[in-house]
This record gives sequence, structure tokens and C-alpha cells, in this order.
Amino acid sequence: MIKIPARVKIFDAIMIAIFASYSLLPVFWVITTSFKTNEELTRNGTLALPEHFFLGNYPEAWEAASFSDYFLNSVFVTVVTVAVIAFFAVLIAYCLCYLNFFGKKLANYMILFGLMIPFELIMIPLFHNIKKMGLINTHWAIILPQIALWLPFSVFLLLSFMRELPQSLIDSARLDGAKEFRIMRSIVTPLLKPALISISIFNFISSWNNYMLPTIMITSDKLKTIPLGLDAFRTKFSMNVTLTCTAAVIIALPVIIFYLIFQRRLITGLTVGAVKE
Amino acid sequence: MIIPGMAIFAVFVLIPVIQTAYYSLTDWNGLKEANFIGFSNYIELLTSETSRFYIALKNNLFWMILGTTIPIFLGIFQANMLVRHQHRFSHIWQLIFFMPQILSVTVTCIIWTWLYEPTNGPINAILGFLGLESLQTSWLGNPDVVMWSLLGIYIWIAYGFDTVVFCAAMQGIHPQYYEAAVIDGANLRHQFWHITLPGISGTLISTILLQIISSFKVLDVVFLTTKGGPGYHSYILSYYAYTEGIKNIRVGYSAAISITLAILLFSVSAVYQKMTAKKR
Repeated sequence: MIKIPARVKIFDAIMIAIFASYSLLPVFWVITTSFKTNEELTRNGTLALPEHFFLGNYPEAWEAASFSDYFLNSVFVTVVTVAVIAFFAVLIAYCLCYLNFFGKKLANYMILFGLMIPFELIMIPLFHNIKKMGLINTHWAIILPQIALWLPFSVFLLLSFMRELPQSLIDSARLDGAKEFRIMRSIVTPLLKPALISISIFNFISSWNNYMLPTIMITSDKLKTIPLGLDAFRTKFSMNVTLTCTAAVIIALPVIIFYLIFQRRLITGLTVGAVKE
Repeated sequence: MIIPGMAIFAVFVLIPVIQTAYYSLTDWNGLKEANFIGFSNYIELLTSETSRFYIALKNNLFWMILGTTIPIFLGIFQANMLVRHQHRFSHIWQLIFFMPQILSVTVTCIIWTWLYEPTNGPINAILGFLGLESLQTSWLGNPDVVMWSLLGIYIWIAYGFDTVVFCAAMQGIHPQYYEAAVIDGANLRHQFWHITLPGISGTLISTILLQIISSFKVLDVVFLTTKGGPGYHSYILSYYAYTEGIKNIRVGYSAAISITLAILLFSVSAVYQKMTAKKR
């Protein structure tokens, strides 16, 4: 153990307090404001703590922004996206790792290329193509581009895990006469479980929070996802700070709970690319 | 087995990339036939009086440089405190600094638009409380500070990621190096410069690249806060492409902006990778 001098420790404590306020205070103010009435907000100012926990904003915000519809829409979009990406990512990564086939090099390049494509580059043709396909204003207009945009990263991550599995495992299964599909299903997939969970959590959060794609593709109020709910809210009730803060809490809460439960896996999923290289 | 997944990727990513390149050479407006007009869109973009290209480019570069260096500097600084100075509860602090990363950008922007509110926003309220009324301003409405305010939002989102990444990297450095250094009489500063920094250099190189790329993906932040305003002072290339392509339906012109953005992004990444190739 290395001894840390006391003055360094005090300096650290001060710095961490500053950064923690930077990260936490905005969220803290939003939460406290959601428990205030508008009258109280104007009377006591923004920084005062709520006088008592006023819960009335919650049902009102929930009703006003028809969050129950948005919630179901978000669940549908997210579940389909996560499931399809996980399925295809295993298939593609398995083929790229263990099989030899015509066009493998090309597929590899496509995946690497896909890692670098920002959504901003393709949004305009994507919008017009989807309009032509007649998919605009359906959930598929969000789901399919999400799958296409995030599949490369998931494949990339699975591949880096797969390459660390012992090759002898696959070889001996092949010697025993197992078909490729069976090797993939019964041997490789169970071993990939941690990586699969990481990419699924990552895709879950990205899909749940996705804003630009639904904004461009969805106009019908019935089909909107949760992040757009807050948006509609903001324009309708722009003066109502307490209700807006309440809506923000409602939207953020499921993700924060999810984050606290799965924090380790989630952080690994998000940071593994940077540390592994 | 590989085909269905790759097909979705090809239809919804690869083909649109090619289309963007093609449309940028046409005058397509989303309805009538597209006419091939060569590089006119690019010439208009670079030379026209009404073009917002240079202000958007300047803002993109501002965002790229400061949005990469500041979060990485803070990330290393924090990781060094949490890991090297053996801070108790290091894990909990990492969790807190990382949290903004997982919030929906809608929520983040709602929070910050409200914080920046000129009349009763918390930031101006604090400044008033501290007696610093002269510093109060309309954070998102003042052309001189708007890009700094947006940068403040971006750093809030991004820096926890770097902290967590560098914590992981520093935990991977073998403790024997530090023990040997202490025996040789090295203080904390020497340890940082001669052991910690070289030890995380691989991670540092890839994190800088990731940050450069993500500093371009900020369309939603601008869209949700200033919408390019006041005036055109917070235009960035992707927002410019969005307004031209979806609002004004000048698809060709908008595609030219997107391609310029892509060229900028790819050339910065390529130069950076070339520069660091030797060190890997």
C-alpha cells in the first residue's frame, strides 16, 4: 500500500465534491421541483427545498402526456430491436469467426464500416426511402434502421469475445458430428451469455432513449415513443415547469432503476471497446 | 445464415450512404425527377452568401476540440483520484459520474434548458444568491456564450464515460511498478507521469478517437435546445443538413452537407490513426 498524504486527500475530497455537484445537482433540482406546486415554485424560488412532498404532479403529468400509450410503444420497439439484434449478431459473428465462405472478407469490411457510420450521414435518404416503402409512421420505421445501425457494434463486440473461446471446443464438437447450427446453439451461445447480456442492455438503453429517429419517422400521436412524449409535453405546457420536471422524472426513472440493477454489465458493455483495444 | 442480418444492414445503412453521395450531385427535392448537376451543391455550400457552412464548420470544430480534450482531461484527473489515491467508495462515485450517460437526451436537454433559463433558472438564481448578478445572462440566447453552454451540456453527458474507462485502465496497471517506484523515492506526481500515464496510453489513444467521433453525433442536443439559434450561432453541420433535407426538402443540397460532414469526420479519424499508429 502506498501512503497518500493528508493534504492530497483533502484536495481530492474537494474536487470530488465539485464534480459530484456538477453531475448530481441538475438531477436533484428536477426531482425536488417535481414535488412542488407551481405556486410554491414562484413563491420560494427554484433552489428552495419543497415544503412538503406534493405528489399531485405525477398523475397529472401521466395523464396529460398519455404516457401509458407511449410506454407500450417504447416497450414494443425496444423489445423487438433488442431481440432481433441479439439473434442476428450471434449468427453473423459465428459465421465470421468459425466458417469460411465466399464474401467473408467483404462482410468483415461492412461490419467495420458500419461501426463508423453516424446516423446523421444517412438520415435524409433513409427518411425518403422509408416513405417510399410506405413504412413511414409505423414502428418498423424506427425498428429496422435501429437494427441496421447498431448491429455492427454488437457483432464487433461478440466477435471479440468469441475469438477468446478455445477453438478446440468447436473442433471436438465437429468431430463428434455436430451440425454447425447445433454448435452455435448449444455450445457457443451459452458461453457468450455475459457478452450477449451486455449488448442487449446497451441496445435496450439506446433504443429506449432514441430521439432523432422517432422524431423524423413518427408523426401520429398514437405511435410515439416515450422520449417524444416529453417533447409533446414541452410544447403544450412550456410554461409549466413543475409538470415538465415531473414528466422528466417519469421518463428517466425506469432507465435509472435499470442502470442501478445492471450497472456493472452496462458499464462493461459501454466501455469494453475502449479498454480492449 | 449471415444473409438476413446483413441484408437489413445493407438496405438501411449501406444503400443510404451511397444514395447520400449520389443525391449530393443532383438537385432532387424529394418529389420530381432528380437532375444531375455535378458539384453545384458543393460550390453553393462553400461560396454562397446565404450558406451557413462556415459557421457550422467552426462550431463543429469547436465542439470536436473542446468536447474531446476537456472530458478526457477530467476523466484522467478523476480516475487518478479514485484509483491511484485509493479513494474509498470509488465505485459509487464512478456510478454517479457515469449516470448522465444513460439518461435520455430529451431528459438531459429539458433539465439543462431549464437550468440555463434566464429569468428563474437555477444557474442565474445561484449567481444572484452569490451576488454575481453581472455574470447572469441568457445562457442559450446570448450568441457569445451559446456554444459554451452547449459544451457544458455535452461535457456533463460525456465525461463520466471517460472516468470509468480510465479507472478500468488504471486498475489494470500492475501494483509492483508503484511499489518499486516508492522504494526509489518517487512521489505521487512522478508516479503519475512515469507509470500511470504510460500505462493507460493505449486506452487513451482509442478513447480520444471515440470522443472525436461522438463529438460529431450531437444533432439531438442542438435540436432539443437551441435549434441552431440564436440566429445561426449554434448551427452545426448535421443540424444544417437536417433543416435543408427535411424541412426545406432540398435533398441534394442537404446530402452535400452530409457528405462534407462525413469527409471531415473520416479524415480527422484517419489522420489521428496515422499519427498514433507508431505508438500502438
